Amino acid sequence: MRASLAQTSVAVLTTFLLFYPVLQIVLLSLNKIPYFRIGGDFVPTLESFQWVLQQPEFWRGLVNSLIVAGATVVAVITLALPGAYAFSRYRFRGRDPLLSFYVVFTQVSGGLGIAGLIALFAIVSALGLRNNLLALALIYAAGAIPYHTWLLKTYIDTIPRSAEEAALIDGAGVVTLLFRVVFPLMAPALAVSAILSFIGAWGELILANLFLSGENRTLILWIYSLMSNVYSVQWNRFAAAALLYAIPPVVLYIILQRFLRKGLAFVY
Amino acid sequence: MRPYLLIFPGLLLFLFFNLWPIVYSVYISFTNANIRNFPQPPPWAPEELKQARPPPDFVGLANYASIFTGPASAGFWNAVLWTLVFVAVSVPAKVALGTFIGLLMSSEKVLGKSAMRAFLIVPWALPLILSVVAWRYVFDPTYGVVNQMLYSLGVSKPPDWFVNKDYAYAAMVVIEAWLAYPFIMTVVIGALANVPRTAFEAAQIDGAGRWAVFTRITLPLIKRPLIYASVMTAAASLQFFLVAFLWNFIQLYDRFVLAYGYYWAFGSPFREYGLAAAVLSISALVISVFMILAIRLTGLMRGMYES
Repeated sequence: MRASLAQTSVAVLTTFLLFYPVLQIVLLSLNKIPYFRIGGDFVPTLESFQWVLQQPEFWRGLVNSLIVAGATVVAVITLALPGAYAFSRYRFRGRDPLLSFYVVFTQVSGGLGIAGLIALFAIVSALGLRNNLLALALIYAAGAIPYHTWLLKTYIDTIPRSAEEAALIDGAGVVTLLFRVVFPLMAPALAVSAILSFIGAWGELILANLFLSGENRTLILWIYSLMSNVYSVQWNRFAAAALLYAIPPVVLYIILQRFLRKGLAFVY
Repeated sequence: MRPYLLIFPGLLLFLFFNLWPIVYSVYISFTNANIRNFPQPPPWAPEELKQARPPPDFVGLANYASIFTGPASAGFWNAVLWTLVFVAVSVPAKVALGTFIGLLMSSEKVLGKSAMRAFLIVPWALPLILSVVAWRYVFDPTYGVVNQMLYSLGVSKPPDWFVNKDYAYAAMVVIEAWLAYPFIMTVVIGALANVPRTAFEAAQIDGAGRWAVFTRITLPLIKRPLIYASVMTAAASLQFFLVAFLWNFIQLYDRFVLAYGYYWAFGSPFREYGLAAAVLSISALVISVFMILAIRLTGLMRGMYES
């Protein structure tokens, strides 16, 4: 078949239109004047980014976000991995129903998360854990456990058992077995799991907004507060702040794609 | 014992922070929890603080009566109706846009597809809040490209996409379509990737027109994956909340059920937690039933026990 100019043009135009909102926010952040339009004035400068980097809220938010997301990654992996191993390697009562429940929950977690919000608010308040970054990370990890248990289980299924059996014959206990034999083989899957839980924690807004205040506010809450009084912040600065906020998850997403191309297609 | 010991830590945390709150929320929906008695202070709080905040009273079905037939019912049914309209409008929009792009990106006649795909996947990779920021600028009443185009087309007073409820709602449909097309596109590209090109060539040699090739070959090939994707994306529309929350919550809270529940709990000065819990419990029930039916119908769980 020969290439068609008409079809290619339609494709290019569609791609341009759909990418336009992102393109325009990038150009806006680089513009000296606080607005941007096609055919309008465009004076490129990094002043807006410099402004963001001078804001103490930005740095405080960045540190808090890194703490929350980092703690979430650690908690997700330490809690989901043993479960995933058990689901993959053992047959026991309740295995299949629990696994199905985990998978179904993954699909409705968004809506049900909002549904449980009020009680979660009460529970966290009663435990005195409001405004606690590590407690928030633990809540994020709790919500991520079904998906990550399932994800890691699917990967362990593909690892041959022979290595473990050899270690068991050598008299290794289950902990040695996991740390010496299973985990090193799982490095790519653990990386995928870590990236996804980091992105999730980095982007969570509703719980963070409900529980964190003052010094403990994460970066997304700063972006959200800029958004709420958009008329008092110049648009180019606001765009720069949102773009800087987005860099870590976008970079991680690109790394994730490389893992997926290497044959870890089980994620989606 | 060993598998249980390995599963329990994660399971317990999940049950405590995810499942228990849902059950507990259902309980709260039968009480008069509000700003004066909820949430209860921690156990180590001073005694006088505890006495100043007696726990909420059990009120039976009063909250449900309020949302179905009572004072909150107008807002509730309004939110239910508009949520269903949103599903009915946004799902065809997402599926049509995603399918159109998926077909284009599978076409042999389009050059530079891999470069374009890298751009087209972007809405998927971006954090939601950045996407909303980008769309806020697109719809900005003064500087936004939408209103500037309307202006140059001769509309002397283009709408305010934030302050006007209906225009804000319309913007939600556009943004949801934009957020979801990468998913549909990927499903369509995946479904067509495994088809031998000879099938299309043979049909053309046999004299089949473009339309016939589309309806007889392409459509049957993508039908099943597309139905699956549509059901999944309908669930997302049913649970639509965050974009409305970020856009202009004051205008949109009574257009989406989850937003309406959130509004009564945290989004308004009223803080009627019991009432909000009733709204959210009903929503959770509807979403769960929808998902269970969808999973049954689309066979999502098939092949789960293979290993």
